[in-house]
Amino acid sequence: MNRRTKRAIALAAAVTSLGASLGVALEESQAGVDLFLNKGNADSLRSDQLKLSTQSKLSTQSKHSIQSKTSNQIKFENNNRQ
Amino acid sequence: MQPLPAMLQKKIIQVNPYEVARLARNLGISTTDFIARYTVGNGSFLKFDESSSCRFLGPEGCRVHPDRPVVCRLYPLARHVNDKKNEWFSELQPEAECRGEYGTTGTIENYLEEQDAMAYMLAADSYLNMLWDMMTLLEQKSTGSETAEVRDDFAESKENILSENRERMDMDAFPLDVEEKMHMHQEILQLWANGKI
Repeated sequence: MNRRTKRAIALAAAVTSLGASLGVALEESQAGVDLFLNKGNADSLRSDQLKLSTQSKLSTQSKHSIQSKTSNQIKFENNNRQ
Repeated sequence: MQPLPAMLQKKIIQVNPYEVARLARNLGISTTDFIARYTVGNGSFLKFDESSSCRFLGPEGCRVHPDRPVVCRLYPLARHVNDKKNEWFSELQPEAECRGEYGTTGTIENYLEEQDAMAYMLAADSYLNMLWDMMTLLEQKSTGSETAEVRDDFAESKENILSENRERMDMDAFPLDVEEKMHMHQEILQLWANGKI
């Protein structure tokens, strides 16, 4: 593995773990990074799987349940902090 | 208010490097030790016990209450932040058996203050800003030409890469107070992500 590739994978690992620790949800396009980092199955790795969707740039900081996929959420807009 | 048992079972509690450092300090152990003993997912989530309860839940509530993670401080609120620095909050449905007292007269701002959440939100935001930059860098690095090489060599390198990443996210190398640890850690991480070290 050349140095450039190794750095890219190391950066992907950092993004994956730091993102998870900050509640950044991983989308399908980023699942390829998880796939080869966590499951070791590099056979299905495609070159575009290192790309990250800009739509995944959202952090949700909440104590969410592992049983329910969604929770009842009522949004309070930032300007309604009163 | 101490967290109550119902909300500490079968949950996912994420912890960023700042929160790991706060919890490690609370317990009087190193961040390396904390990550090994109390986290899963390469140090990103708290490890729960066999009954799916938080390991810090004691007979009288949270054993690390002063240094509890931000998701615990915010509950039953959730905080959302995007890369445009927009912030908003949503309300989670409390557990059916929750004995917490809920009202409708308070404000989010007062609640955050009561829960002493500001330092945690600022820490999360500073790591998020780094994360967005790292994601952009990663997108720029993806060219496709290394795919075959990655497929051939990755199986041997995976453990090393994950191990190096755990070390990279661990602030143990910085023997300073938590806030200084975080700033130094972020500086090093930024330099590394940009290929300067």
